[in-house]
Amino acid sequence: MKRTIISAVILILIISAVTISIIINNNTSSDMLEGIDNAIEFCSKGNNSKALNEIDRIIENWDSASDILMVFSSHDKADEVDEALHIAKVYAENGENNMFIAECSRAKIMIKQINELEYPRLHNIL
Amino acid sequence: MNKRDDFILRKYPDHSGRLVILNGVMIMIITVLRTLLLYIFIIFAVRIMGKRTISELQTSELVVTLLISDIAAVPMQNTEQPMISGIIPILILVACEVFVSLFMLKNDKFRRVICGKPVIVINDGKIDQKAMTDLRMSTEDLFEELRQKDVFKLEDVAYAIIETNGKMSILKKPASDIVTAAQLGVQTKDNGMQAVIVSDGVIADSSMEFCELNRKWLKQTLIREKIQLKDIFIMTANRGRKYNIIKKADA
Repeated sequence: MKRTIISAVILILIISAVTISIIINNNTSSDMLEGIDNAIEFCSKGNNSKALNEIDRIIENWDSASDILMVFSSHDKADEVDEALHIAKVYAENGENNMFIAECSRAKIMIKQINELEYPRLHNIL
Repeated sequence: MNKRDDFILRKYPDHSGRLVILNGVMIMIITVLRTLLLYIFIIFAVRIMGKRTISELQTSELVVTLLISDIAAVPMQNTEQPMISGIIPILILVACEVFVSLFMLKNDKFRRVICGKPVIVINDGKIDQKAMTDLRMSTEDLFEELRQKDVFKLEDVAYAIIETNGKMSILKKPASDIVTAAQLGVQTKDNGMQAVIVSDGVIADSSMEFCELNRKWLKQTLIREKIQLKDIFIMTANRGRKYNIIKKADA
């Protein structure tokens, strides 16, 4: 009977952990995606300084969020996003707007992929 | 200089060989820590599943045991994978195994679906060839199993059953079986079961309780035998207060 109770508790804890991971992932990624969209918009309008500030903010948020995200997601995917954001920053500093937008878009796609993998969709399960 | 190198220099100002070596050492440390954590975790998981899993594996238990070992290896070897990607599947398997075994206990039909049923391959001294074919069991397999049960003549066997865990149980014919004291009408004394009450100088209180002994009796025995507790390698005893002491080699 003890084992049954322990197993039931384990299942409940797992369901809770999975739910929390989806919520954290969702919150982090939506915040990041919004920030990247803003940075792209600033850059498109020629406001490079604002785009740079925005990308700095995004990098800072990602650094703090990725520590928690890496508990649930693959580390190399988080590192790739980190890399893309830093490269985008370099492009922004050098005034290469097109490359900045391309790199931001790449980061967006990777963040969406990390988010997408967490959901129990058929193509993820199969 | 390309953008990637620029990024690397900004993020890692001290971009030298030392960084590469340090990174390698850190990965090794992480691997060591993960292996230790997963080792402790798997012991805990197998303990939850119970003693049956360790001794005689049923089909579902065999599957779970194999899966656990494979799943645990992934985060152990690949530090890029989060450890939770190994822990969660193992916990799910353990919980499922406990629930499945509990349901098997309550529901005989379900148990038959998961584990199958025992098959009689030798019935009243006659080999059931159809049963052997169904089990994909050859005559060599049959004789190998019989020999492992110390049966060297087919004529000695009354019944041979292949259990759900794949092991063979044998009932010999009375004429070939070992005679018991009861059959000979011989009165024998019941000495009870021996238990280890002292192991490497440490008293096992649970074994003492099983043998209905106490520390006072132990102390008196050791005084009588002129031996100290720390010099004992193994001491066994039974409920009849019969004991056996083996001293340590360097005592």
